[in-house]
Amino acid sequence: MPDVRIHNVSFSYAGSSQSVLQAINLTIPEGEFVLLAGPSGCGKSTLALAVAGLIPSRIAGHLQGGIYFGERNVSAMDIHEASQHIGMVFQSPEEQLIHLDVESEVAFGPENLALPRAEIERRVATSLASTGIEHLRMREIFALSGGQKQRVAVSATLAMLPQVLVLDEPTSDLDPLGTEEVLSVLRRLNRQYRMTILLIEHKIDEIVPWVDRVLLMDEGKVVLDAPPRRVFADVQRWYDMGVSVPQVVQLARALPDIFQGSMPLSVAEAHSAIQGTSYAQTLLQRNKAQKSVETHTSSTGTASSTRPLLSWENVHLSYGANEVLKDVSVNIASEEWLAVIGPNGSGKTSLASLAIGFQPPTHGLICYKGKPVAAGQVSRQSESMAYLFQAADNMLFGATVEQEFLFGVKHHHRRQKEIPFSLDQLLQTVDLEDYRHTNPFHLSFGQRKRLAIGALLTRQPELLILDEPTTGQDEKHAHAFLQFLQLLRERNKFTYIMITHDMRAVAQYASRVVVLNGGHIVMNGHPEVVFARVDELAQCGILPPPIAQLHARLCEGQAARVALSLDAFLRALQPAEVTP
Amino acid sequence: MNLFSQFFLHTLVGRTIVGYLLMFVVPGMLPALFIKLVGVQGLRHLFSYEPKQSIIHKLDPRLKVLYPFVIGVVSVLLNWDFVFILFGFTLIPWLLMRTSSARIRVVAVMIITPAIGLIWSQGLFHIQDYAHPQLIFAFPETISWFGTPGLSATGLLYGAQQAGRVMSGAAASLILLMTTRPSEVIWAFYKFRMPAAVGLAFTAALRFLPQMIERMTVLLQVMQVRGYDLTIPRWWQVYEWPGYIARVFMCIPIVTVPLLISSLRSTSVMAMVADGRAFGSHPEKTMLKEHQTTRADLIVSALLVTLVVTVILLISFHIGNRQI
Repeated sequence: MPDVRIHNVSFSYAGSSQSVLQAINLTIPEGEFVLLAGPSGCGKSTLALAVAGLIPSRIAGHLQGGIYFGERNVSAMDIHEASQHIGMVFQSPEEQLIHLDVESEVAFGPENLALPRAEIERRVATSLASTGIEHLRMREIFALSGGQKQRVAVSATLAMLPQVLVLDEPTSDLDPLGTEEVLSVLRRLNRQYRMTILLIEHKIDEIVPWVDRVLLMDEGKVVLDAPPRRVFADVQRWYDMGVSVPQVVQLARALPDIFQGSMPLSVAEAHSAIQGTSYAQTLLQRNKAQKSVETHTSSTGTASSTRPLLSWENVHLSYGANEVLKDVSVNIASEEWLAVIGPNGSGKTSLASLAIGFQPPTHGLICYKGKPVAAGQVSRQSESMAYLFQAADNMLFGATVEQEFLFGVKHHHRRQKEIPFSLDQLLQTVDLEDYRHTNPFHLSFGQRKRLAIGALLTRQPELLILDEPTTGQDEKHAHAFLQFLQLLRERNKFTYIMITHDMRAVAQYASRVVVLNGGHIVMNGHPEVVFARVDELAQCGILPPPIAQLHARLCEGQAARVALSLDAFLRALQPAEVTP
Repeated sequence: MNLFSQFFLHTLVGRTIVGYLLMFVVPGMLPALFIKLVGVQGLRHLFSYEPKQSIIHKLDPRLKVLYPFVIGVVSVLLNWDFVFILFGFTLIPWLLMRTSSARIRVVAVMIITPAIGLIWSQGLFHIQDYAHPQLIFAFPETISWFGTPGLSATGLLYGAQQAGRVMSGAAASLILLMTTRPSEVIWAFYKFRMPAAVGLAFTAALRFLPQMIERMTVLLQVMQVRGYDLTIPRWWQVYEWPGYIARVFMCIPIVTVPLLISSLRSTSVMAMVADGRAFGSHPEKTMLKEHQTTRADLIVSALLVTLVVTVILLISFHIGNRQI
């Protein structure tokens, strides 16, 4: 199988003089699994499109240099020819599936190539088998989970028989279970079929143990190119660029006496290094002591004994025979930061949508400050609670930042007299003072998210529902946005409900976490306590942050609480001070 | 009763009230009926394939592509008595396909709503002879600004005839949409030697329409969260309804731009994927599934041929010809 050779490639988009790719030189040998990492906007996706032959034939711009598959220039090939060597899988499964059923989708490429029917049949069967979804062959695509849909997209790409697979953030729309499904398929394709894989991902913790090589990009250049155990040697560079560094790598650097220069890439490796050391003994002793003094934490505990700000009381929600929420009761107290986690389809978004009144529950009651929430009266409800949608871009309608803030005032039919904050105050709150007359879509992704929050604040809510606030952002931007939310909460005494798959965000910011599975609340407590129940969480398709997993494993599954950050874990490894 | 009819039919105030009711109840009722019984979410079901194991689902896709075309042509040729018989004929496949009650409700509303609208509008505006209009109810001069002398019997009849055609065509077209997979439609188009792009466009429309409706739902939710009031007034809050309807119309341009932008973004990815799957790269294509003609296909073909021949015979004997 030929290598992929990227020779001196530079690219600028049509109408822009700025080079997105700058003189990139790379060779990816046959059968290599390569992770392409870097901050948002560094040129990763552009490089992926160029490697797949979609630049410049489908995306206009100026390309210099060449991308070769063996001796053949990919950039000069027709797309259908390039795709039979290098297949591309995009981020959103919804946007890249053409047909309504799995079989037709996978057969679509070979059919277009006018192959004999027996060959089409063989390719469909093989592609489905290599992604482990033969059983889904006759299913309708709309009935599949996100992970299954992305596996169908991979299968359809494989049916073109490419030798190289390029994937642009294929798991960013997926829950942890879906992510694991897709990653295990990629591992299998690489190990079993020797397929060359170029994968763009922000979820470095999950992927780095499986790859052969890591490329780090910044400002259109590859700035680091090394095997995974050596690529974090200059970890400061990763921090400076705001790209996520695996927690176990950070741990190895903090405990040089244990790891002695070796670089663990997974929780299992870190566990085997620490197990049996004095650190592990200390952790076990601490845990025993903690368990003996700690009263049992109820798995269905409520926020506090004070009157809740928002409550769901015996709430059921069903669509026909499909029960989405089953007898859910949960309270949220003022100024809490409640994280709602669970696999896709577990009822997280439904729980939040009932709170703001997008729909009524089938049974039960949702109360805000003791008064029932009236379904359908969303604009009235928005005076007390706000909803930040996952795609914040969908929330912007104005021509300028200023007009965004005035939208609610202008369109409220009961003519809200004035917004509770002055425009200057709002601009200052969301740190957009210099952009008052700027078109919202000329702002960066993070700025647009802040603008969406600012627009919601004009309604003067007390409670904000945050739907996947960090999705699609790199570590640096996600962290900056969460810090902004934290500051806002402290300043304005806001209450947050955060629906998320980002366990690091939960560990760092949430004061309480509710785990939903199959429409039931299965856990409800402080993240330190909930994340200690690693096995139960695994049954719900949830993986706690690596450091929490490690803590739980070192306590042999008996941990009452686990550390949520590296600093907390390092403190837990130190012997407790003896008080006189 | 006499007093009642005396007031509403013979006094200016009463006739004005009846006139306004005639004019505004139907256009006001239809959107309310649609929102109540279908809603934006219901549209998702209207244009999507519903997997079932019925005899209609298993028919040759070519027949199902031809079917709305045949019904459309035949309905134009027949007069209104026969158009309603034809409409009855188009209901037979619906009985055979055992569709879900939720779908039936949506489809029924979508077929009947435009029919009612058509009958109403023609009743008011289709006046054949302005000198001697056959009016069931003559509008008083207080509402002469509306531009019609009143509700006419001939207009209502003409509207009913048009409605029969619309309902027959809609019932036949929806059978194609709801019982045929896009891959089968592509196959049928390919067999008819139609351009491959037509089949793909059809598939893409079916694939993306539910997503567009989903996006529109989110945008409407976003607007409400941002303070735009789309709360549906209660039926007795008459004073709230005009404002509500105005707000619904005003929100259309606001949601259109983001909807278009996100749709264009999706279709751009889909176009790259289709290129990557070699779409249009070869003049010929092979289909994995080739429909094998069954007895049911032969029977349905015979029925369609019989229908066409019958209509031709009827017309040649000047029975059931379209008069208008």
